[in-house]
Amino acid sequence: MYFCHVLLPDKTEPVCLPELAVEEKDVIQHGPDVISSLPDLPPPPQPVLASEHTPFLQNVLYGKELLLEETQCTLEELKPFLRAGLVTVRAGLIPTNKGYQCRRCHNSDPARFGLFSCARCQKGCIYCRYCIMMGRISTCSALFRWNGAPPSFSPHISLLWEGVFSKGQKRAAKTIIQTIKEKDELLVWAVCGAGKTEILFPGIETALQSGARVLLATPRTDVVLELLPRLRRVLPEAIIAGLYGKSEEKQVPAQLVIATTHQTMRFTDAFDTVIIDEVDAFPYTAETSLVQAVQKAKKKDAATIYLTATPTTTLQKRVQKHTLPVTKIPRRYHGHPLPVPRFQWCGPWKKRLKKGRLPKPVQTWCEKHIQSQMPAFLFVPSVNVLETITTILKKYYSSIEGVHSGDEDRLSKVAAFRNGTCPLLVTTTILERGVTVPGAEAAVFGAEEDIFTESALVQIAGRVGRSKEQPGGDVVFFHVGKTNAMLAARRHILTMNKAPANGEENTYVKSKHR
Amino acid sequence: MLKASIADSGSDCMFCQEPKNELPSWGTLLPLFPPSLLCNNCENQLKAIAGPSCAICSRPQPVNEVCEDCKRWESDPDLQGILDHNRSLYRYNNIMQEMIAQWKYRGDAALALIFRENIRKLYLHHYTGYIPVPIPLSSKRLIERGFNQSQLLADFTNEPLAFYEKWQLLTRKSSPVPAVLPLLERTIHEEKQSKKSRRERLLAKENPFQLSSAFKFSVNSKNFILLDDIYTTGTTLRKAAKRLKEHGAKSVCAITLARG
Ligand SMILES: [Zn+2]
Ligand SMILES: [Zn+2]
Ligand SMILES: [Zn+2]
Ligand SMILES: [Zn+2]
Repeated sequence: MYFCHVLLPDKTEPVCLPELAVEEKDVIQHGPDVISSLPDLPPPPQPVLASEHTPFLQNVLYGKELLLEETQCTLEELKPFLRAGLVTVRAGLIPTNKGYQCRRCHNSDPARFGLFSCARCQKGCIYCRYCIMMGRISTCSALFRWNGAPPSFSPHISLLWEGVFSKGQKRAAKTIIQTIKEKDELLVWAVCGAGKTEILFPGIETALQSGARVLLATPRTDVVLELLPRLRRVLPEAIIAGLYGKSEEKQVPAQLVIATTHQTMRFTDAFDTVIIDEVDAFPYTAETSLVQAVQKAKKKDAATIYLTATPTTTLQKRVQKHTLPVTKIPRRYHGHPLPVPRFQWCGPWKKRLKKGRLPKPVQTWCEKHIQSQMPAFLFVPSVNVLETITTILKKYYSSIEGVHSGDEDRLSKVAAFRNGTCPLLVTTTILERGVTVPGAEAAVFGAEEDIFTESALVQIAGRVGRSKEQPGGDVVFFHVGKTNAMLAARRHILTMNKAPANGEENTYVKSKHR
Repeated sequence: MLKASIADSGSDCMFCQEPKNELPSWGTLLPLFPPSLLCNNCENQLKAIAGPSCAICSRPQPVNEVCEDCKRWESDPDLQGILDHNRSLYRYNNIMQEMIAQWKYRGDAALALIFRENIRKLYLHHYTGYIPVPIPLSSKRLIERGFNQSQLLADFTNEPLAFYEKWQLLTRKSSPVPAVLPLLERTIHEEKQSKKSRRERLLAKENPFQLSSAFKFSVNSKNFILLDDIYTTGTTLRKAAKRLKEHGAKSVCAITLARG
């Protein structure tokens, strides 16, 4: 599939068209060539055509940039829309001086581009491996987008939710509404277990009533699956879509979109309000790409809300410099303070594991929990350590389990832990967020290892004391030497516990809009 | 022309894209053993087929004898002995399924490189002199996908030999490595395989493959090695092999990545 820059008979500005859509009277200015070899054209003005009413294409393409195979159309079917300027096309990869940049995920690291011999363009084709899970974008790929009128949604939306806010939640919810109205930026810094989902409800309602489109982006599929039914229940009139790896709803036009970060990459200029859940839950390299994906998905003057228990240093610095408004919820929903981790030296554990034994304090901790049937997480730094420890413990206690991200039985093991048949779960950091089991306690094994960052440790401590009935519990870091991350995590928790639960000083909002 | 990265940086795992973090081992110091493209975690999840297995299709099983499925194939007078045998590198477990999905369906062509060394080794060990033949795609599917996965695997057999490999071939008096020949073409478009039941797939009588008319090449009394991604029921490979045997091929074997 090659493309050309073409001057149509009745037009003054050239448009980019697939070779197949070019007609005899057209004047070809560039091409035909692989689309990324053609210079970028400025976006054409939105055509003032009311005659062609095409809800299907509008729904599929509005606010997104899609590969041809994602549009559910053939080039022949798209031809009249392309010629009329209702659908426009751009290269998927933009040439840069050190290679390419991917238009969808913004990856520009040459190490993340592959090369293959392409049957479509009959050339060596470079492709982005960073966002490959969404289908391949290569030098010969074009992205299609809607250039007509946007779809409109009913503003008659009302929130059906009868829960009660804690004072901290109430203040945060008010600040969120204000941020959305003023199209500003806000960090919602809420401890694990503060009930951060509910505080979004009134803000989302306000946004939808004004006819806006809202994006709620989260790093994990299970969060999408959990939030989707909850939001559908409390906002029954709203059209809500949940987008994750395997979802079937990709083409539903919705006023509220709940999506994994990867899925947000398909959007362009689509949202008036963007809420980003757990901004810090990404490895460093993914973080910039996420920020860019969200930048691209939102409109230029959109409201942006970051939601997290453990903001990155970048965000914290912006808060200190007063360039990012913030609202903190330092207290859990049930009003009790966060359990403070204790440190326990456990000797050179690597040597001990080699001999097939656990360090004494760790062994005692595990036995105590297994024998008293008190659910316990044991976080370990790597899959190797996980396997060694699981084998050792299983000799004596066959019902314990070990899970890691590549584990085929991950879900069933977590379920067994939830219902109590598995008393102790050895896990890598994959379970640091999300999984909540009432009454559970947590230990970190080898807490000095690099993988246990401040935010990972705070999140792990956040697994404990979640229920009103059992608001306390033991959090212990087994180590052979305290690290800055360990100390910072404890300081973080102590600071949150000391902060006045309802003080106005927890919120800083710019007095004047920029 | 297949590269994992246009920057030649091999520090991240080719599959999960996390840093590999491996300690330098003898393998990375000696040029004989190219370093793995995977991190330890991914590498450990791949399960090579080792131990007792079916002598024909290499399905892992408790004893080294012909499995029930292969007995059934061999009792069909039409297909008896059509495929001499198949060797698969790995079990078709979760990670293998994910890798093949990312490679074929998401289009991550370069992922094939993960298997390059082991495909070459298997070929050089057992099949030098055999003519490598890829299982073809229909032209429609080829345009859709942008590449033919079997072709990529077949091309690995033709990569330049290391010095010690040339030496080994010489001392073993093995035949040289013939060029990959796309001898077959697919004239019937692939239907959505998953929509058909296993039984329907086995029973579909028509053979989608033909000997390509583009080659004036005599198949007669030559040895062939077919390359494909998965051996599931063995139907595809047998249909392809049948075309070669019909024209007098002496032996047709198969190398597949995974035994489904
Ligand atoms: Zn990309
Ligand atoms: Zn191409
Ligand atoms: Zn890996
Ligand atoms: Zn068999």
